[in-house]
Amino acid sequence: MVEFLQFLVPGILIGGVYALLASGLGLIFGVMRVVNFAQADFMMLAMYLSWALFAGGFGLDPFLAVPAVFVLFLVLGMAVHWLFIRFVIGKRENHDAQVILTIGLGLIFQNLILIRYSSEPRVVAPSYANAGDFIGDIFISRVRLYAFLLSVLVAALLFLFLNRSRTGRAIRAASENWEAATYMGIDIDRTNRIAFGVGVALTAVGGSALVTFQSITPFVGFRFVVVMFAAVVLGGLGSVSGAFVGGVLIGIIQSVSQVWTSAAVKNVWVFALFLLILYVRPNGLFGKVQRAI
Amino acid sequence: MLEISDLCAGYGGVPALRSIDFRVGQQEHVAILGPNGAGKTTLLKTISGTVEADSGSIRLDGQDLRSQAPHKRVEAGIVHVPQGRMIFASMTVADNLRLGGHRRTARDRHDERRELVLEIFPALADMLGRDGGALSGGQQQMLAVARGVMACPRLLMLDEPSMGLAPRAADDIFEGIARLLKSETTAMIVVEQRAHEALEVCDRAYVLESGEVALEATNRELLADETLAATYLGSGHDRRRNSGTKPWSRCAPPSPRPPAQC
Amino acid sequence: MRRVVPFVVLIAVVAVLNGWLDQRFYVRVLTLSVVWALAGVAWNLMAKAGQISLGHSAFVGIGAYGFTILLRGGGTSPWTGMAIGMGVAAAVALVIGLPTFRLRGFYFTLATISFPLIMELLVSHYGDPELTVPFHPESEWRFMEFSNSHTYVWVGLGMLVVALAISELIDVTSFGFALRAIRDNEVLARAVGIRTVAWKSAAFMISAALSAAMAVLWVKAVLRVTVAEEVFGITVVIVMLSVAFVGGVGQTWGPVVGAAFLIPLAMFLDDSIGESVPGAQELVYAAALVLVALLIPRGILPAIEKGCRRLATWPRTSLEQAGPSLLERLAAPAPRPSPLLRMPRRPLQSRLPQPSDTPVLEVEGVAKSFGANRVLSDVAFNVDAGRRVGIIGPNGAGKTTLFNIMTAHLRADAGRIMFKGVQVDRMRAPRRYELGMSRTFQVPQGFHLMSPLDNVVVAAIGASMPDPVVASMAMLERVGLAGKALGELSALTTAEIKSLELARAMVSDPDLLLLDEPLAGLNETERVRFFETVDELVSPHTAIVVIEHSVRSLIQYVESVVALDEGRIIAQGPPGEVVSDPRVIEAYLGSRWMEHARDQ
Repeated sequence: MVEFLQFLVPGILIGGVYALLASGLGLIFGVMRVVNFAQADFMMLAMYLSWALFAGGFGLDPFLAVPAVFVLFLVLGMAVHWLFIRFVIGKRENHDAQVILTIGLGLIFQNLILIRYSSEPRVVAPSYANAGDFIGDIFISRVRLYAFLLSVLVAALLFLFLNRSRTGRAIRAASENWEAATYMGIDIDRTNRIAFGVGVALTAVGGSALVTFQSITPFVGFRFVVVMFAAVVLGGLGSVSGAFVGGVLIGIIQSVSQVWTSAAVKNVWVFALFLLILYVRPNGLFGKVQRAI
Repeated sequence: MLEISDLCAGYGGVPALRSIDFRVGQQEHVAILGPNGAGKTTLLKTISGTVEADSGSIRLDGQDLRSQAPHKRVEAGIVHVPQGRMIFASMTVADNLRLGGHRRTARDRHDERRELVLEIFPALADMLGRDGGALSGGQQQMLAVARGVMACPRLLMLDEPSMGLAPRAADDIFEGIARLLKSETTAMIVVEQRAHEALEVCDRAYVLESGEVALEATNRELLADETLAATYLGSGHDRRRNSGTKPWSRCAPPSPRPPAQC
Repeated sequence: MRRVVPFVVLIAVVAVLNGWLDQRFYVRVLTLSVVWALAGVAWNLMAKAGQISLGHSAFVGIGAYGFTILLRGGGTSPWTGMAIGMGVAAAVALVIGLPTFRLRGFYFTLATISFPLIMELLVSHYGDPELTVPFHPESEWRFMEFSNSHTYVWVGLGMLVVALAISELIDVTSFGFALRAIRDNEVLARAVGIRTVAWKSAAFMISAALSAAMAVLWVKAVLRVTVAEEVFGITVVIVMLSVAFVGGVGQTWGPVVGAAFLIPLAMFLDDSIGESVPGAQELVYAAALVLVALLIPRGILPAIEKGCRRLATWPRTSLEQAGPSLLERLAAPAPRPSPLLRMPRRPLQSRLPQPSDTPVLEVEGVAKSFGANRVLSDVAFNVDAGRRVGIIGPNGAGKTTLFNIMTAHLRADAGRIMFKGVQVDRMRAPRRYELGMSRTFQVPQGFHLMSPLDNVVVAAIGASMPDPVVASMAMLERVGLAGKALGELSALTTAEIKSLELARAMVSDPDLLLLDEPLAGLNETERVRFFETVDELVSPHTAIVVIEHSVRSLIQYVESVVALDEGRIIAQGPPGEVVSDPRVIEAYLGSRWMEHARDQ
C-alpha cells in the first residue's frame, strides 16, 4: 500500500504538469480544430528560455520566470498563428496541410535550437532542486510540488479567463459554435489568434514547470508529444477541462505502472492507454459514444 | 435603410438566390414568407455575411456591406438570430446574454439591456444561472431572441423563431416580439412559416419562391389573398407574381466551389 | 504506353548515374535517394486513400529487426527475412488500422503515432537497442553482401520499380478507384457501395509490407547496423512525409520526384556545413513541409501539371506544333477515361430477389431522439415496388433524420426498416447499396478529383457490375452528359450536376431510389425536366422515395404523400387529400392562419 502511494503521489504531482501541457493543445484543438503537432516543441522552446534565464547570468528562478515565459509565448503563438496557421484553417482539404505544417514548424524549432545550443542536455538546478519533505513514508520532492501548485494556479487563472473575461467568453463561444459566435459580432480570426497564443503559452508554462526535474535537449518534445495527445484524447478532444483531468490521469498511470514494470517502459502504458481510448471511446472518457451505422 | 439589389448567392455552385431585390426602411418590419427551400435563410445569411454573395449589392444606409466581414456588420447594427436557435449550450443563460451584448455599442449598456429582455421574456429571469442546453425548446428560442436584442440592433433579423415549437411556445415567442416592438424602434426582418403570426407584427412582406421574389405586398393585401397558401402547398390556385420569373442568366454562372462538407 | 515512359526514364537516369558516379559519397546519395523514394512510394499508398500515417517507422523497424534477428539467429538469408518481415508488418498494419478505419478525421493519424514509440521502448528495454548485422562474405546474392556498392543501387532500383508497378496497378484497377473515391468523399463512396474499411486495410497492409522491404535494403546498403532509435525513429516518418508531400501526396510518381529533389539537397547540405550546423538536413525537410503546406499542398507534380495546362491554353499554336512535352506527359494525370482492369473480387453479389408480395420498403415504428429532444416517434409506412412516395413536412419535422436513418447515417432508437423483406437497419451504407438501395444528396455530392464518367464508374464498381465503364457511359448518354463525360466536374451546371447524381444513383438499376430534396436550386422548368429524367431512367420495378421542401412541385409527381410534423406522421395518402388536410395546412402555415382562413 505504501509502495503504491509512493508512486501515486508523484504521479498526481507530475500529472498536474501534464494537465497544463495538454490544456494548451486541447484549447487550440477545441477552438480551431487544428491538431498542433508543434505543441511539444513550444514546450521545448520554453524550457530553453527558462534555462537561459537561469543559467545565462540572470540566475532567474524558473518558477519566478513564469510570467515572462507566458507573455513571450503568448506573443510568439499569436505571431505563428498570424504568419502560418491562419492559412490552413477551416476547409476540410486543409487537414493534410495542418498536419505537415505543424510537424514542419516543430522540426524547425528543434533544429534551430540544435544548431544554437547543440544536443548536449541542459539542466536547471536551483538550490532546492533535491529538497523534499517526508509525509509519513512518502517523499515529496519540493520542485515537483511547486510545479504542481503552479499548474493548479494557472488552471484557476485559465478558468477565470475563459469564464469571466469578455475575450475568454468569446473564445468559448467560438469553440462551441463559430457560426453563432459570428452572429454575436465576434471576430473569429481574432479569437483564433488569441486562443492559439494562450494555448501555446499554457504549454510553455508547463515547460517551465518541468525544467527543474527534466533535462533539456532539442528533442525533449518527443517524450511529451504522445503524453499530451493521450491526455487530450482521454479527456475528450477539444475540452480544456477534460484535458486537465486527462493529464492528471496520465501522470498517475505513468507513475503507478512502476509498481509492476520498469520505469523505462512507463510510457508504453501511456501509449497503450491512448490507443485503447482512441479505439474504444474516441470521444474521450466523458464524451458520448457516437457511432454511425 | 437596407437596400439589396440584383443579389445572387448559392452553395457549392447551386444557386439559392436569383437576382433578389429587397429593401427595409427605417424602423420598418418586414416579413419574408415562402415555402421551405425558397432561399429565405440564405437571404438572411447573405445579409449577415456567413454566406458570400456571388453578385449584386447589399447596402446599409448607402454603405456597401458586401466587402465587410461578418463581425463588422454586427458592429454596424445588423443582428441575426439564426434558425435553429444556436444558443451556446454549455454556457449559462446569463453568459449567453452577455455574449449577445458583445457588440461595442451594447457593452456599456449591458444591465439596462438585460432588464429590457427580461421584461420581454420574463420566463428567462428565473433561469439566468442555468446552462443554455438545459432549457426547453421554447425557452432556448426566447434566449436566442433575447440574445439578439442585447446587441441594441438597428436591424434585427429573426429566422423562423417558431420553428419546431409547440403552438403555445410559439405564441409566447410572438407575444415577446410584440412587446419588444412596443419598446424598441428597431427595424426587423422576420422569416416565418407561420404566416399569420409573422404578418401580425410586420408592415410588409416578401414571398420567396425558388430563390426569387414571387410577391411583394403589404400585410393587409396578403392576409386577404389566397395565393399564399397556393405558394406553400400548391392547392391549385393561379399564382400572381409582381415581376414574373426573372431570367436565370442575370445571375453569374454557378461558381465551381466544392460543396461544403461537415 | 504512356505509363511505361516514366519507368524507362527512371531506369535510364539511375543507370546513367550509377555507371557514371564513382565517388563513394555520390553513390551513397544515389542509394539513399532510391531507398527513400521506395519508402515514399510505400507511404503514399495509404495517402491514396487520404490517410496520413505517422507510424510507418513501426513497419520499417519490424522489417529491420526481423531480418537482422533471423540472420543472426539461423543465418537466414535477408531475402527470406525480408519476406517474413513484410508478412509480419502487413499483419501488424491490419491490427493498427482496423479499429480506426471506421472513424473519420484525425483519429487514424493520431492512432498511428504511438505504435513505433511503443515498439522502440519495448525493443530497447526487453530486446537489444542495437544489433550489428553479421558479415557473410560467402555468398554475395544470398546474403545481400555486395562488394560493389553500385549493386545496391541496382537492387534498390529493382525494388523501386516493383513498388511503382504495384502503385500503378492499383491506380488502374477498381482498387485505385475505391481509394481515390474514399480520399475524395468518403460519405459518398460508402453510399455507392465502396467498402471503405476493407480497401483502406488492404492499402495499409501493402504499404506496411513495402516499408518493411525497404528497411532491409536500408540497413544492408547504408546503416550496416540495426538501431532501434533509428529504424523506429520519427525521422523515418518525416523523410517519408517530406518526399511524398513535396512530390505529390497520393501520386504514384510523387515520392520519386520528391526524393530526387530533397535527398541530394539534404545530403549535400549536410556534407558541406553539417559539421558546424548539425540540424541542416532536418531543416531541409522541415522547410519543405512548411512551404508545401502553405504554397502547394498537393505537391510539385500536380503544380507542374496545372502549370502545363495553363501554358497549353496560352500560346496555343506553338504548343500544338511542339506536342506535349515529356515533362507534361510525366506530370499529366491518368488519361480519361481511366482504363480499368477489374480486380478479382468475390463472385458477383447476386442481389436479393424482390419477393412479389412484400413491399420494397417497410418502415416500422421508427423512433429517434437526440438527447432529450425527440425527433421521430413511431413513424411507419410502406412503399411498394414501382411506387413513388413523397415525404413532406415543415422545417424541423424530422424529414432529414428519417432520411438519415434510411441511408444508414443514423441508427434508429426503436423500430425496424425492412428492404425487400430483409431487415436492413443494422447494415452499413455499402451493404444497403449492394442490396439495391440508391440515394442522392441534398447538397449534390461528387468526387471532385474525377471526371463525370469516373464519378459514375465508381458507383458501377460499387455494385460489382461486369462492365463498369460501358455501363456508366451508357448511363451518361441517357442523361445527356455524354459530351461532358471526360471533362471537369466543376464545369457542370446545377442541372447537369443533378443529372450526374441521378446517373450515379441509377447505374446499378436499384430497387429503391431515395431522393433528398432533389429540387433545391432548380427553377420551375428545370424541376419539371428533372422528374422527366427520373422517369426516363427508372425501371418499372424501382420504387422512389422523395423528401422535398417544395410541396407544390412534389405533389404533381408522387402517387402518395407522407406528411410529418414534430416527428410524427400527421397524414398519409394521395397527394390531393394530404395537402388539403387541415392538420397539414396548420403544420405549414400555423393555427392562426387556419382560424383566419375559416373566418374568411
